Amino acid sequence: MNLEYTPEQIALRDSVRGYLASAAESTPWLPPKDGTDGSDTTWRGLAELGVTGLLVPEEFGGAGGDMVDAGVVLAELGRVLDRGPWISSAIAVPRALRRLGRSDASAELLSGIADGSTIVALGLHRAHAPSVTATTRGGAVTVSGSTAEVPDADAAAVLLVPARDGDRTCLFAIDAAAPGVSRVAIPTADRTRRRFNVGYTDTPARPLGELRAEVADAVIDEVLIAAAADAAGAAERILELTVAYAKARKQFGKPIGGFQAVAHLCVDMLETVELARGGAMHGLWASDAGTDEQRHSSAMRVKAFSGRLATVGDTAIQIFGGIGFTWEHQAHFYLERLLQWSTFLGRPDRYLREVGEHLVRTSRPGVSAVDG
Amino acid sequence: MSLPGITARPLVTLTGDADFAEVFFDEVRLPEQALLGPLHGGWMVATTTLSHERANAARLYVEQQSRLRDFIVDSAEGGEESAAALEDPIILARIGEAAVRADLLEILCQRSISSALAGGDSFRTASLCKSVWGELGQDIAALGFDVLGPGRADGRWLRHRLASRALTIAGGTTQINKNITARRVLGLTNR
Repeated sequence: MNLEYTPEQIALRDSVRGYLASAAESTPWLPPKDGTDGSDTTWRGLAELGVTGLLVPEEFGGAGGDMVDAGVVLAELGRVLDRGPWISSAIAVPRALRRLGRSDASAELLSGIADGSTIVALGLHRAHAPSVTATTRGGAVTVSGSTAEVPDADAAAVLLVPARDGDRTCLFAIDAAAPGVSRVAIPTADRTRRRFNVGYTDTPARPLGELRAEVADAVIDEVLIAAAADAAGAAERILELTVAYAKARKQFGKPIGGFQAVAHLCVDMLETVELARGGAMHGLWASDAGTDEQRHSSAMRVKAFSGRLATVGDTAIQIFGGIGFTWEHQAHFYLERLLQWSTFLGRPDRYLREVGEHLVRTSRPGVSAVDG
Repeated sequence: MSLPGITARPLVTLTGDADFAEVFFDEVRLPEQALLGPLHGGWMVATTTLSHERANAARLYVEQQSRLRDFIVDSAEGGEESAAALEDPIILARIGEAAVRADLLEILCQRSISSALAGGDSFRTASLCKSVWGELGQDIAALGFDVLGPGRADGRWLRHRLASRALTIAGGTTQINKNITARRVLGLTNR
């Protein structure tokens, strides 16, 4: 595992950071100037940088990058609390399609993702046992049913849905404007992230191939890892803002960061941020170069740590004090982003138990760690 | 240590062992070749020794990972009650929490080594490794003692539980370590 950025990755980080700093819309605590939430403008800017197609193979107009490259962008998007559908369209979808095999439908989607013209969302809730069913009549395929908790379904022009097709589970592409599609927003902890329950009634669908259980597992792992990298970026940024405040804000004639009580809270935040960053780095590496087991353990680990990571947002607000508790300040957006990550695809305690069960299974006397 | 004038008084610690001692020197005469390093270069010798001790700390995660596995083996073999604890959701979450932190500590230590090799500033990560390690070691020892108590596994987990108090004291207390990290890494000062 290479733990240092390459010169190309540093250049990527700098160009994305520079662009996001210039895009005022990417600061969600400011009221939008144009009546939209600004994510469209940022999306076009990212497409012009070539970042929407970072993981799309070069033959479809993408950059052919890997998950470690994606991690560079994720940290930057997390730092500015970007609201766009990058994890859905630029990570979940290309990583799923590359495992399904080639098809014209898939090539068309990938080209659209790469040039930024098509935003695609993928629902992974219960991907192993979907409640959506596909029906073929006279060569035309339709789907019916519903998928819960689909991120970014409002921004997407195309929705990818896992559906039962006979005794298999297959992935289908659906035009978001097609008849029978309904999207109902569900409550989230984070106003910078949107999720929907999406329903389908006899909706026309294009088959993309079989979604085998191990493919669904891999894509879920990679989405968890990507979300962890985004959250680690957000946590790193709120730490920086908090430390800057602790240096500037004075009480009793001294910066509050000079008091041990405050300084130690800042170090606690740093410790949690660095543990989370390392977890995300390992996950990104394992997605590209590790075994399935390494990638899965890494995904479970970052998700299990998500509850602890959210304390960085809590502690930041404590240090900011009264101003941090108000909407006058951006700190609460960071807490909400971290809380949303802690609830995403299941509570952290469930994952903590899963990690514990796995270790018990593989450490019992007479069991070799390799068998587990 | 057998020279005339040296008296060592063992200091019994929390665990009942005497791992270190109070040493008195009363007009002890030494041959010149007993001098380590140059004359008046003692601080350099001491800090070099300490830096080796700290470099060694970069692999301390291994000790906690294997201690956690020992706990699982001892519990599985320690009788019905402790074996049943390995199916208790609260104990499983505590095991998971320790396992996650031990693995994240491993990555943190490796990042510290990696950035030192790449010529970067490894202090940011290295300074955190020790505090994480100390608190993790205490949590694993507490988990073992809570499940196995003083009577099972030859009383090993009582000894671990008591000995683990030293983890956040020896080699610089966690609180002093945090002061140094706040100052050197985050730049938080009185002015």
